[in-house]
Amino acid sequence: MTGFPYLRIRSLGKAYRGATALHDFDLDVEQGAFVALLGPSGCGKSTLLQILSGLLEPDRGEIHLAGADITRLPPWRRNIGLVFQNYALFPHLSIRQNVRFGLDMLGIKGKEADARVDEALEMVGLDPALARRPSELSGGQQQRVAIARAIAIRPRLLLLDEPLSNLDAVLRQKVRLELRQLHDRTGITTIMVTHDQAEALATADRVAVMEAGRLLQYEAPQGLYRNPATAFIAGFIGSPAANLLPLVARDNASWILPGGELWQPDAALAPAQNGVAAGAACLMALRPETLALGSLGPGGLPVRIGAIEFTGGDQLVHVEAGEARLTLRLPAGTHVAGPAAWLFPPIQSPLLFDANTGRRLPTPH
Amino acid sequence: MNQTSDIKPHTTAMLVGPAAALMFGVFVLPFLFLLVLSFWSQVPGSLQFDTHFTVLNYARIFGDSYYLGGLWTTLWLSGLVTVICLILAMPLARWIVLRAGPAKGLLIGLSILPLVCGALLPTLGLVNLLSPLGFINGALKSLGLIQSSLPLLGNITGVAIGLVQAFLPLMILPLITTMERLPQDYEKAAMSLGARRLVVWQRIILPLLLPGIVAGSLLVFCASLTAFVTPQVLGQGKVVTFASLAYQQAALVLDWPFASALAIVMLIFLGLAGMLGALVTRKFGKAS
Amino acid sequence: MKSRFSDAMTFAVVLAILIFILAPILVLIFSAFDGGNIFRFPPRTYSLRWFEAAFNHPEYRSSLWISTLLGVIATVIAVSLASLAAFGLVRGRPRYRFAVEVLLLAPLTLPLVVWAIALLSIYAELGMNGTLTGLILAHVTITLPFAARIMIATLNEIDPRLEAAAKSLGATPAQVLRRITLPLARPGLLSSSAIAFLVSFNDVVVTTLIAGAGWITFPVRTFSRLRTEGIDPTTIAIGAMIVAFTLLLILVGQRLFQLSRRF
Repeated sequence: MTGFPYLRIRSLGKAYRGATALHDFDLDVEQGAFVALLGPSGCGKSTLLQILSGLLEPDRGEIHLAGADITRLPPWRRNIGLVFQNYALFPHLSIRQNVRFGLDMLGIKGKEADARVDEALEMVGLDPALARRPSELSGGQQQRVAIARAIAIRPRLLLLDEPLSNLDAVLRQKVRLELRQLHDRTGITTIMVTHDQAEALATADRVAVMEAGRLLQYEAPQGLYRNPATAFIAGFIGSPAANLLPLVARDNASWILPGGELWQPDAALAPAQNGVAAGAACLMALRPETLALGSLGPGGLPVRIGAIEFTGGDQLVHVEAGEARLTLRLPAGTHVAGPAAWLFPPIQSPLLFDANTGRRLPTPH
Repeated sequence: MNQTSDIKPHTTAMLVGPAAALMFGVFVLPFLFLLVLSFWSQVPGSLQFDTHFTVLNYARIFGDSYYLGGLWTTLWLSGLVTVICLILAMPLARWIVLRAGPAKGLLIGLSILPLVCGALLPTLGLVNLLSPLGFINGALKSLGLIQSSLPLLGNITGVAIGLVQAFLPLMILPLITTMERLPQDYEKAAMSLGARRLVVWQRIILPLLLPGIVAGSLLVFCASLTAFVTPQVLGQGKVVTFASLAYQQAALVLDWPFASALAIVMLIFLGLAGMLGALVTRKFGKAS
Repeated sequence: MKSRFSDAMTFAVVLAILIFILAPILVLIFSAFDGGNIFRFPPRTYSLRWFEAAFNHPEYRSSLWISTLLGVIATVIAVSLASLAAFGLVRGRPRYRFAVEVLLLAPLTLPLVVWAIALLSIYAELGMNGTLTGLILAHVTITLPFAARIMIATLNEIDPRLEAAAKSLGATPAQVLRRITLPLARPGLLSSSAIAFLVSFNDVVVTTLIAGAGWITFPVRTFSRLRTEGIDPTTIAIGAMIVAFTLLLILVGQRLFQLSRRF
């Protein structure tokens, strides 16, 4: 689909009390996409959501939705659905009245309104005959009502603020899937704010990683996993978090580990192959699920085995390489012989980053 | 989502303006005028003010034993009332916070009843209770504890009782607020570390309650200092408090500059009490 | 470890203190029913004659009417101004918030008798002595702090995200006010109106000094009669009714909208 993207955010800037919340932010979202805004707290994702919904005015920049400039439009004219982290259901109204609220504002009444309320409640998996007050429902049910309320108005854009963070672990998995399925059924362009990378990777078409008010990388989940743009992203994405091993290039073929020991890896992982000059400091991202342990062999990184955590199907093996600590994820059945062993990282597509800037070092091929 | 203000500054100013302007104009400004007035004097025999600056009024207050006596009486009476209120309010507040359960709201409502009824009505009831032919004397007599009636009206005792009854709510409310904020865990933690009840009270609870105690004490002290309806009714004109003097001068003698001076003196003492309260809180209290 | 005994002791002490607080009021109410000519507790005979006398006494009727009128006017103005200001302070969160709150609550901490003297002098200078306007202004000033305190507490409890949610669903600010904010603020509005009315109705200190001869309220009339003639049963009867009314209002308020929570 060429032409203007459905949602276009350009050069958005916002500062409060001296601190910059958003810094010259750009983002394009296609119609019908499910985008996750991922980042740690304070990265500006909630601010962005508030600006998109019209509850906050940006200092600079523009927002275009379906071709129209909505930057200065007040929230009640934007037709953008908003689901809050704490649901914000109106306590003095019943469930149906809550869901019908947006329709009342649009002037839709009577049978048509009832039908839309029924439809919205059914879509979120609630019984339309539910005639209670919000305070009588469980957290999970309240959230569904909040979503139903937002989609009843058939919004052009649906914004979800940390929808899963108030749910317990079990419910989280279930609702995660349902959110995606809801999106697929309704086709509403959806933006979900979260600090949980697993959620973002599992549900979104594209993930926008943010930090300190800036967009770091905006890609499909696989792209983010395989080609993180910065060390921060590499470390952030994936569970358990990737190891970031600080290395200094000694010469073309070997690295200096923290603590001074040397490591001569496979040629594909050597400094020369990756365009790293001697003396340069780097970070190598090593994903726990891709590492192997074995006995002495070429390219192996000498490590000492520390604690082992059993997690059911897997075991997390904590090791020390010089002064650095690393974690591996191995199947529970694997026998781990200690105290010394050799760690073998994967040799395809190494993830190397400049230790100072955090930027990904290109792999010369 | 963050909380950011929903309204623009000029709308806020328009919303807040009328109330603030009213309070400033009608409440605050008169105090300033009072200050000015206290340095003027009344032209004898008329309602005009002689606007030459003079400290005559203040000299009169501090030079005449009648007024000084009134000041002294008022001060120690207020102090006494404050202490009694503190002693009575503590167990009540503690009970309401810890034990009252569902009746809590009701009890709080009842405790503030005297406050809302105004100065006069409960005082009327008290007159009856305390009079020589009243309930208390009657009950004590029929129990054989006294032969002739105890004089409970027309003296300091009656006034003190009346003031305590009137201002106890002012001590109870801040204590309840402070006690509610005090997690019970502190007590249990201290006791598990081996501290006996008394020590727990002294070292942990009292310092944490101090802000409430100071707030309540200040309120009661200030209210007692400036009370005049209760002392007039229960003292039957024989107990001279500073506020009744001020009232007399303002409403009966109509010497407003002098009344203003009396009022300013009261304010000064209130200010001193406030500063003392702040000092005590800073020195002995712990921020909660 | 608390023993049953010390529990019982504490309860007894607490009960005694409560009785101490409420006794004079109960005495007032009961003795109004006394048929005799003197103010006596406990009543020897029971009768409603003093209530009848009260209703038929023209001076009292007029002062009760004035108190009510004044109370209603002052309450409407005070609650309106306080609500607007509370909304501005809570939702607008201006820098001067603390200062304005102190200003609005000032009459609660500063002595009213002192202020009344000052106001009296200023009114005399402005020629406003004894006017209804002057009296109304004074009453609004003494009731506004109560209303402000309650409305600020009430608005603080209303989650601003509810208002934000309503806006995202298409509600204009006026609609948000009407459909969300006002219904949720209603208990606070009722509480502050009740308290403001009671405070205005029962005020002696300020009104005694400020009110002119034409606007004598019930408490002021009672106070002046008290000083000149002593206590007569009609006064007691009326006083009892007022106290009972106050008590009733507090109990009802507590039941319906948790009055005590809003302080």
